Amino acid sequence: MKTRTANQGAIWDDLAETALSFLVASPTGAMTDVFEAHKSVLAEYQLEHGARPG
Amino acid sequence: MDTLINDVAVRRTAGKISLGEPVVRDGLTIVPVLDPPAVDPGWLLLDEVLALGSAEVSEVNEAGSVPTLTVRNEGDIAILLLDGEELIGAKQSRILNTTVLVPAHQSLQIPVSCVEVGRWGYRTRSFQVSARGSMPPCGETRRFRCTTRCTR
Repeated sequence: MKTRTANQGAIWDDLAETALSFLVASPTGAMTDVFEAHKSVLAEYQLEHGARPG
Repeated sequence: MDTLINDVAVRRTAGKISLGEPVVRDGLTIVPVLDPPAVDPGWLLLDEVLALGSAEVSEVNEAGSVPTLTVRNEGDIAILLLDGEELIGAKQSRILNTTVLVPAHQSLQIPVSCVEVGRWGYRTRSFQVSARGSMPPCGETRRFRCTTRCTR
């Protein structure tokens, strides 16, 4: 039977690695803090690469 | 063996799409895939229905359960929740483990993963969709394997 259970430990490892590589320290280890810390750069990308009609 | 290209719907759709002008920045090139005359798909995305106030994502109960959340759709149209979508709030932020379609006027329990290891306490009663955050879908990252492959 198929499940949709995650390998939670691997996800936490990935998040920790990502936070480290982007030099972000989150008090709760939150993925969203990594995005927040780099939101100005992401905003630039969204402006140029955002969704277009079609 | 069935492959995606043998799927009739995929072949029909592939014949209609076209590619837009590439956009390049810092070594990253994105080529828009354009689908002619958009047809109402019969669903809305989660951020759209949350803005309308016709749906809610919450913990399954007061105590909460790390791998499961509840989506309640009180609207007249289905909701499409996307694999990897980040949900922020409640006791702990999560991401969706798979893509889910929630029919109109129904509630479903959805499989999720924790993406905030250091918090297990209510910040809000319900979740919001992250404006930016998402994790690549299953099988597309080096270690993130979110289906049967990692459950044995």
